Amino acid sequence: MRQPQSVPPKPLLHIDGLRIAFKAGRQWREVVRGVDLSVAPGEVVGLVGESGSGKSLTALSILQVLPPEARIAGGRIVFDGTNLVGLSRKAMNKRRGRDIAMIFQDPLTALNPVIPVGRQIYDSLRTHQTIGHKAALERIQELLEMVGIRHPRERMRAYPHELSGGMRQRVMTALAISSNPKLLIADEPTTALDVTVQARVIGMLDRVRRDLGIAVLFISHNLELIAEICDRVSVMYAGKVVESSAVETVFETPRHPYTRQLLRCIPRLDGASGPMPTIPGLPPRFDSELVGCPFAPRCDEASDRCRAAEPPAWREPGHLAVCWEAA
Amino acid sequence: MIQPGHFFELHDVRKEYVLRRGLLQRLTRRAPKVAAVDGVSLSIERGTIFGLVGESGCGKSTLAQIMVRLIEPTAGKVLYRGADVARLRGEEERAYRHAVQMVFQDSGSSLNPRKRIRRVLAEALSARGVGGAAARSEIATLMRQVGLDTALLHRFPHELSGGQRQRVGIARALAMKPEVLVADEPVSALDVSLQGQIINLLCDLNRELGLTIVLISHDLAVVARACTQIGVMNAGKIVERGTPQQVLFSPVDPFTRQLLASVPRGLAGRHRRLEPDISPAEKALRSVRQPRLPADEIGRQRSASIA
Amino acid sequence: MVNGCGGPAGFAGACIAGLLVFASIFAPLIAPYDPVAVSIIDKLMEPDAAHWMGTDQSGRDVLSRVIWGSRASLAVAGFAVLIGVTLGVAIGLFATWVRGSWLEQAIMRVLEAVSSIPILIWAIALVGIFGVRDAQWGPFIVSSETKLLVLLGLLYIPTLARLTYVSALGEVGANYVAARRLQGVGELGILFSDVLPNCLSPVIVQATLLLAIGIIVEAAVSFVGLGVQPPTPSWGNMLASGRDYLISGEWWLSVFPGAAISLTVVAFNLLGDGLRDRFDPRHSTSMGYAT
Repeated sequence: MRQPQSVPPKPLLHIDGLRIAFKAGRQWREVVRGVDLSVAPGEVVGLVGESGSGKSLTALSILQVLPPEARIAGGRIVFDGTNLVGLSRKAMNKRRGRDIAMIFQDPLTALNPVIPVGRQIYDSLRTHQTIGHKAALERIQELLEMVGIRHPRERMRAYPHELSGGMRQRVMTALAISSNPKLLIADEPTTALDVTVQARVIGMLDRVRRDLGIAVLFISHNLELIAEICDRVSVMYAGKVVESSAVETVFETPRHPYTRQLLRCIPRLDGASGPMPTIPGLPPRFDSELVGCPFAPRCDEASDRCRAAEPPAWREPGHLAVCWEAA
Repeated sequence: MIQPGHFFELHDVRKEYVLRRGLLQRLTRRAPKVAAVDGVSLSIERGTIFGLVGESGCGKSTLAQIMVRLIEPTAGKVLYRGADVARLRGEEERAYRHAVQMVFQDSGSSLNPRKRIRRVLAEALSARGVGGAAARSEIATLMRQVGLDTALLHRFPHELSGGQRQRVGIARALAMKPEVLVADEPVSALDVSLQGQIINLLCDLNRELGLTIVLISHDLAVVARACTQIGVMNAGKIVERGTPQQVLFSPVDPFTRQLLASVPRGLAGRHRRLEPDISPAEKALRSVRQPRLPADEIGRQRSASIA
Repeated sequence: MVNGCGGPAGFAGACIAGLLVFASIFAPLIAPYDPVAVSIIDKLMEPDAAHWMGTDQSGRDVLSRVIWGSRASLAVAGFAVLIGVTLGVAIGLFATWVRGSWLEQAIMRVLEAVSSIPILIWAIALVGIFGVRDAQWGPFIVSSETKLLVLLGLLYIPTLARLTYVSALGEVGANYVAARRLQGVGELGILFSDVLPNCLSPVIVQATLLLAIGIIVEAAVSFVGLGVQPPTPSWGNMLASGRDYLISGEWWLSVFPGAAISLTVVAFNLLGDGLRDRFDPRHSTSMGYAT
């Protein structure tokens, strides 16, 4: 299958014009409205946005585990040369958990509470791979050491509730990478954790992906965190990618006012006082009609043109911004 | 002992929980105890914003609940305007309840899902004895104070955004005409772009109404921005106290330093955590960290001590 | 209307249940014949234009008896649920109020003990003990039907009380309840103004499902001769007397009351499941996923 636009190197995951509709009463409303996104092998791509921006739905649609009220309304999700949209359940199950793995904000819901964590990794290994009993046990130890769990032999016997939040996220990651996936989707993996624990889990993720060369799609609302581990970043607002580029570019020369304002809002340890910078207003409700640029009502640079018509995409090699003022 | 002019004080406050194990263990020997708050003394001056920072399980929420008297301390005293609040009775107790209000973390449970916003505020006012036309005009004032459109009054909580719900929570507290507002993680459930709006609102209320605010958060950056004094809590104790400048730029306690080092710092922090080595200081800290209470245990204890 | 019952299945359940209640209330107007009028000449007639469901061994119209029988069945099931809900919710709330004390523990242990034995077994055992004759309880003369419905109602209490207790316990831990305490509202006031309304949904769902169970229990108890006594028709005792005629080919005697029981049970179950969907909080916050 040929890619409509080649992004060197050949992307592992290429999302093209993805639209997701959500059921609101009797109507279907598009909450993801044409998202393009690509992840190259071994690359870490950040997806950032406020709640309701559609970033999590985008992630869930890759594995096709959308909630029942949501469905893919259009576009393609090409993974490793295969369009995942419209793939049979059986073919999708083969990919899920093997080629693509996912870790969640709350690992407790993703781990079986009544089975020791080692056993869960063991079961996953034996179902996805042809591996003997002894080899599997050795592999579990190796995996747990890789995610920074000391004394893996003892920890294997623990039940999920006996582990701390940070430990659980490590176990979840070990489980996710046990099948040697090509892509790891991390949906707000540290949001529920304390900062000190978050720092260690991020360090662990960074090392794991370096050691194994796994591509990571990292979803977070925390731009600072994204900057620490991602190579490229896409900023989503109201169901669309509004800016996308290398992480340095987005931080140093952002072209979209939303990105700029978002960067300004992050509370920093610089000793500043006085009112905190904010973005006035609220993001549009998912069931409201959008006219013009959806960010225009909150934008400090908006003109009449922004309120009247949807902005065009401004492109430069490796940099995209969807804004009238970007050019 | 009590000096005049002191507004809100905690004297060596402790809160211990008994870890309930099996029946047999309860009968045979004394059940083990855990101190969620382990001897905290604080003095908060009138009209200031005091920040309390710490990680989950450090006891900051327990301390907040002690301040508003949702739970009673095991030992120690809470003094309000020089009076021991544990000894207040009748009308005085009621006055204290109203004077010290709380803003909760928006977890969806801070507003009754079946009550419209108007009713939430009207009930708060009626608890203060305000009803009828006076209540109607005061509701409008409250909504304006927290920056909400009165058109939202007929909405249910789930029809509001997180930021709007948090504003309603603040309005509900303001309805009691409080002197002190204890805000427990008021912005941790909100998007970065909205956090500033709520924090700024609290600062405005502090300035305009002279409201004393205790701002509790896990986010050192947020607290440093808004507060005049900061206390860093770890394992049930206040380990560091000072102005934001002191805490940020010359921290004394190893835990504060670790907390500062852990805050994500964007491009400057790229891949700096490749080797997550554990410093000796941190190792020592970990060994003294208190065992965590299981969440349901806390809930049960809380409801038991209220009942 | 359809959405109010949680979808088409729930709506269908509500329609059938409504029809049955209507039929039982207006039985004297709807039933084509007197349900107890014996006519030996007309006995055991197959269903035809005059008798849509045929006649029984005493020549009584089966359709009329099925319609009148709905009275006994629904009255027993309905009043039993009413008793169960009233006392169950009260006990559940009381246990929440005294939480943390030995009384709470005592109440919950007793309720658990009672509900460890199925309701049907309890019902048959207790009716067996209390007998089928009219009894004098204090100043009241109690028919066997009334005895059955009171017993059934009491047996519903543990289920409903535990359900109320569990949901109420969840509510009292919520922050909005803490906010009410900070306003100086008393514990009892909070229980009635905030906690009770919020834990009624699961109780209503369960009550609907218990209605179905009540129909079955009434039928079973009457079938073994311990419930509604002939000649008063009930689906259970009709089934019992029709049993002997199944082999000789008079199928209509047992099939029609049997079908009525099945239909009613299915209807209430559909309605209950529909209401469960309806009350599911996820329906009101459908955007909760897209964070």
